[in-house]
Amino acid sequence: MKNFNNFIKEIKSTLTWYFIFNNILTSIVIFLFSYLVLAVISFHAIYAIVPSIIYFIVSTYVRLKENLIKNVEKKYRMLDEKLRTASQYSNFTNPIVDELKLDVIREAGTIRSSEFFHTNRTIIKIFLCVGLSFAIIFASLFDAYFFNMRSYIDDKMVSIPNQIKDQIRQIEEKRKPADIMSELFNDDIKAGTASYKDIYGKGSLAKLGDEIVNVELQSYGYKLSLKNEQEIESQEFNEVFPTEIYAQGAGAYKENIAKDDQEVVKKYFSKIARSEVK
Amino acid sequence: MKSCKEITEGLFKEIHRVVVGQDDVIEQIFVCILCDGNALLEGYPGLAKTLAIKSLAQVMDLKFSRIQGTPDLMPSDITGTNIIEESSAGKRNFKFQQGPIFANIVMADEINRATPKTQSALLEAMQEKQVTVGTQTFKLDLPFFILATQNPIEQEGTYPLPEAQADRFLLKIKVNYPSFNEEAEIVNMYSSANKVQGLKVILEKESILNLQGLVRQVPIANDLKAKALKIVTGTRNNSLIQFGASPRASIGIILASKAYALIKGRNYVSSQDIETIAYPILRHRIILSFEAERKGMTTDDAIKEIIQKAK
Repeated sequence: MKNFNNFIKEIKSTLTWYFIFNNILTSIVIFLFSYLVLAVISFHAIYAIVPSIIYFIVSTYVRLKENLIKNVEKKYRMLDEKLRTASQYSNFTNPIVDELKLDVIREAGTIRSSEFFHTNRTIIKIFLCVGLSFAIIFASLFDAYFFNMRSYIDDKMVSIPNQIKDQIRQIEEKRKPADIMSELFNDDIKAGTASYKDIYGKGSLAKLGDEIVNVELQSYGYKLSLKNEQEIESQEFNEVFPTEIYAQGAGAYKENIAKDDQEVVKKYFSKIARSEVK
Repeated sequence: MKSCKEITEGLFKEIHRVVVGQDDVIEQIFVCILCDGNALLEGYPGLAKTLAIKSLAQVMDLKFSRIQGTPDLMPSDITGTNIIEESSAGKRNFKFQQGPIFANIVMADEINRATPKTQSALLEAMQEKQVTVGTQTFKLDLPFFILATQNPIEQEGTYPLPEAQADRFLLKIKVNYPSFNEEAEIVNMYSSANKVQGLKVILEKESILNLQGLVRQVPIANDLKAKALKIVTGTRNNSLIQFGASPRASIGIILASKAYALIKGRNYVSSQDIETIAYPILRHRIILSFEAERKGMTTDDAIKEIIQKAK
């Protein structure tokens, strides 16, 4: 029954679109809220997209797994058990099933798609989006933040490795490599069979490797802050250019060719030129 | 479906001219007939069991016969036997005399009084819809329906149906005492001078066969099918039940639910149909455990618990 199949398809597609629209709206609210929270703690606001994407995927998956037909039956009790039976038998045809489908189509005339659209909740979500957007704009405009998470993390990232390095340095200063080596090869040294010097080459070279190289990486970044505006300071620039500018031929380009030879070269090239013209 | 409902309502209305009350019993017997199954009736004497089934046979224009179960009942008393017949020319030959089994509706009263051998002859007819006498096989006229009754009291000298045989009955119908008002009506009807008029034929044989085909076309939703199966499988591995129902019960519950929906004028099976029909489907197919008997539970109580769990 084509009409019935179309009817079922229409119900499913309408409800699916409502659910997806609802989920998108809720994801936007979550995104804006997360963005605001990250902005006021001065952290990378782009991470706000993570919770909204997770919510969208999970809620869409859960919603799509739900039986949409049962949701209609919950709202319209007279279609309870009837609608899902008819939809499961949509491809069957016999007198009883056909009659059931006709009954369902007749009773489904009372179904209004607006019943599944929660107007109040949608309005609240839209207002939330607008409100949160304004809050974000104001927070950015006045650079409002409660806690600078980014610099806190950066400091921790610098200080912790430095602490670890200090501790390593202390440990290693207490035990010099040469001592370690002698400990390892103590028995061999006593036995006279130690050859670690030969294996590792010159000791002086090995000591170079023992030096601790301090590499400090400092994060680079800048923050434009409208708060710290001030008048432009006048600065005097030192002149670095020389007062006189002149050109001088480079010595490398000077030719010490004899005058007679210069004449020979001139005649040679003029002969070549004449022969080409001919 | 409207016409089905009108037919069944007319049928029950006509039967209620002679049978007072027992709505559930008549409904369940009719469900059994529509499912092409057989029923086991359990009730005390004098509760209009024979009257109900006889009336049903009359309104459906079906041939009715009654077999009284006694210990000396032989299989040939049920199926029939060959008798010697002498023709006018003096020639003698064997002629098969059909037994009471050759009817559309057969009531086997107190089947538990008959010997197991006689019970098996009845069960063969029930299952195969045919009778074998010697080397001859006779097909029974359709629709064919056996209603076997059991007396819950006076169990001395009886041969209770084994569970394997009882499983072949689609429903086990319990007949209860009528209510006070119903009994008053019965007394008025049968103790007065007014004679009860004969019953009209509401349903023809062909219509019954068509309805039997229509029953199988009634749709049932997948989740309701799963619920029905959950109820049946819930009888297995249950602390209250020693032996659970077989897959025959699963087929029976689905089919009987469809027939029940048809009788109620619905073109789909509802969960209420399944819950209602679960009792007659399962009560003769399960054996209660000692724990359930110790608690004083009946099979219906155990089935009720299983239905609650399946919700």
